[in-house]
Amino acid sequence: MIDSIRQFILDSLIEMDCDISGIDDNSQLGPRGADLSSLSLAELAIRVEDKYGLKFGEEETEKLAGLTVGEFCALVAERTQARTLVE
Amino acid sequence: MRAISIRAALAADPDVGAGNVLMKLVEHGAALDGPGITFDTDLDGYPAWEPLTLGMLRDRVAARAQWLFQYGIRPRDPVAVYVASAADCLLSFMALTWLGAIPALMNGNMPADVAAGYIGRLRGVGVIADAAHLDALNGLHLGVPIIGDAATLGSGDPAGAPAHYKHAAEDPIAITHSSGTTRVPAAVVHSHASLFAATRLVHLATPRTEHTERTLCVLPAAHAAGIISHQQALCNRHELAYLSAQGGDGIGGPFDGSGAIVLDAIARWRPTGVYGFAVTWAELARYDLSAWDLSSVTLWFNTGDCAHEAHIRRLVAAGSHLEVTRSGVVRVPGSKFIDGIGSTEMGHSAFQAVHRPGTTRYGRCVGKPYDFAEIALLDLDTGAEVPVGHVGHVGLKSPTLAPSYWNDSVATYRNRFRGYYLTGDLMYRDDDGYYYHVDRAIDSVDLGGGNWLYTAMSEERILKRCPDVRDCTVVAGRIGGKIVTDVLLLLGVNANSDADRTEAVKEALGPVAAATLRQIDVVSDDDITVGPTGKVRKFLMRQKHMQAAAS
Repeated sequence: MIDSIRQFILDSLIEMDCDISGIDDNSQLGPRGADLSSLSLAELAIRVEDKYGLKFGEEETEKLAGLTVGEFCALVAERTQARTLVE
Repeated sequence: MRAISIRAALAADPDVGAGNVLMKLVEHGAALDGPGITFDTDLDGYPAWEPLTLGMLRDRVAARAQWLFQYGIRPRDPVAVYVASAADCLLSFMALTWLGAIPALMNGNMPADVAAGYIGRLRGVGVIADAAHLDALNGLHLGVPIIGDAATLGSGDPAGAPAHYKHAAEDPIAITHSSGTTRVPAAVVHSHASLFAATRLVHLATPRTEHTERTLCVLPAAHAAGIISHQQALCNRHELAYLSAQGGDGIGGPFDGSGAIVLDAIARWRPTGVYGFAVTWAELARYDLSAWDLSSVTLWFNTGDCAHEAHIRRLVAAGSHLEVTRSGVVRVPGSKFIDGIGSTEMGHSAFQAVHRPGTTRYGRCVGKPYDFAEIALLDLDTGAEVPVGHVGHVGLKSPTLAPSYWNDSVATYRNRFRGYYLTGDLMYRDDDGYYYHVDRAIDSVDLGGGNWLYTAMSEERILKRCPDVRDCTVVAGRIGGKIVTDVLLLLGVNANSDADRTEAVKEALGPVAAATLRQIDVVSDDDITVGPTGKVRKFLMRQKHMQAAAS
């Protein structure tokens, strides 16, 4: 599942015209890695919400910048599994 | 992994500080043809409004560093800089820090007699001034020589500049001054680390924003906010245009006509972000904003004093911003206003409140503290923190704090309390952790029986209840053992000067303070005493009104 989430995230970033060259699981989404802008982070969060049926709070979205791609994938996988179990 | 961005590289370099931003940008590989600063005055043959690249900026600073080095300026030399233009101020700052000297930046609006006394108390090695300020200082005792006219410093040879001084974290890199409650400005020293702390911890660590990619800065360049703002723009590699003297053209009062100059500059420069002090928003309240094209503006940023709701609401209704929706990123009407109360001594705003069209948390809400700022609202009698909802003195611990006043240990230690710096402000906190500024401690008046008159909060309420009033000042003091309060109103363009606003003002003051109301005066700008940054000098206003009343 992590692999498909990672692919979705990278595909989304390409569609959003973000530069993903050299980005891997250890790359931070924020300034120390992918250097996504605040708007791009918000857009990525919405795409992930729609794809996986999740919801990120406003403050949570702002803190996504501190996560690496790998950590973000793990967070999405964890939330998705938790949602599936509830359902 | 790919190479990290220059923002992240600067944030991670422990040697970067407010004394060496220009040198470190180049060292970390910032493109020399990338943005430097655009000034509103001619500079060394470059016409006003021609954007200087980073390379051009470094070249112009190096020329000044060489000139000053040849003159004899060396590390630790305090040098006063008394100029009007942002270009002269900021380039002198950068050149002096290049040499490890300590620029003492002075607001060009400071009266010459006050300036002469201030220069003397610095015990420095000399003064850099522009032609107008050299004239003003002529004949006054300074105690130090004039080093030169700011304009001639650019004639130095950039190739001959010495190697950039290597600063340690605690090295003093600038002396700036507060407005002062009277006419006497207080000299505050900033360190290499303290004045860069917020840039490192907040502005380089958070995601890039679209709000400030193209900034128009109307902050006074000679103040801490001027240094911080230009360095944030440079480090973020944003385009920055810097207006001199907060848009004032020096004709009439220092801020006469500044609103129109700012609006014209917005229409010309098309900034996404506009930075200013509260006086700028009050000046913009003179104008019908719809007459100017402000569509580029996404963000207004205020620091210094807390801004008034009446002024903020007009601004957020203008401009536009990008919003992420489920159907993509769209541009929608309206802008954002960030209110960041701060002071020279605080070394950066410690709080941040965000207002947008439709937001309602006003009433002098200053938001929540930045993560780097530790705030305590203190009862100075008991030393304890006051409960939620109670007004206390603001104590601050922060890496941004200025280490001390310059040549004034008394002032340095008088403002310390249990390890906190006392900002001189009074605030309360609500259950949700939001802070509200009610007044400067020195301006508040004890009405007895546990009741207080908070002048700043009263002004906020008057402006809210009287939309045709452009700005107001509440002055209260004691005459013969009795407290009296005067309310001074500056009216908007279409306001009726004969209108009776007594009930609205009394309601704003509340019943106990309203009982002390002596008069409501419609006044002109000339009746309001302001400091060099536009801050109302309430201490002097109080003296003036109480003396007039007593006589």
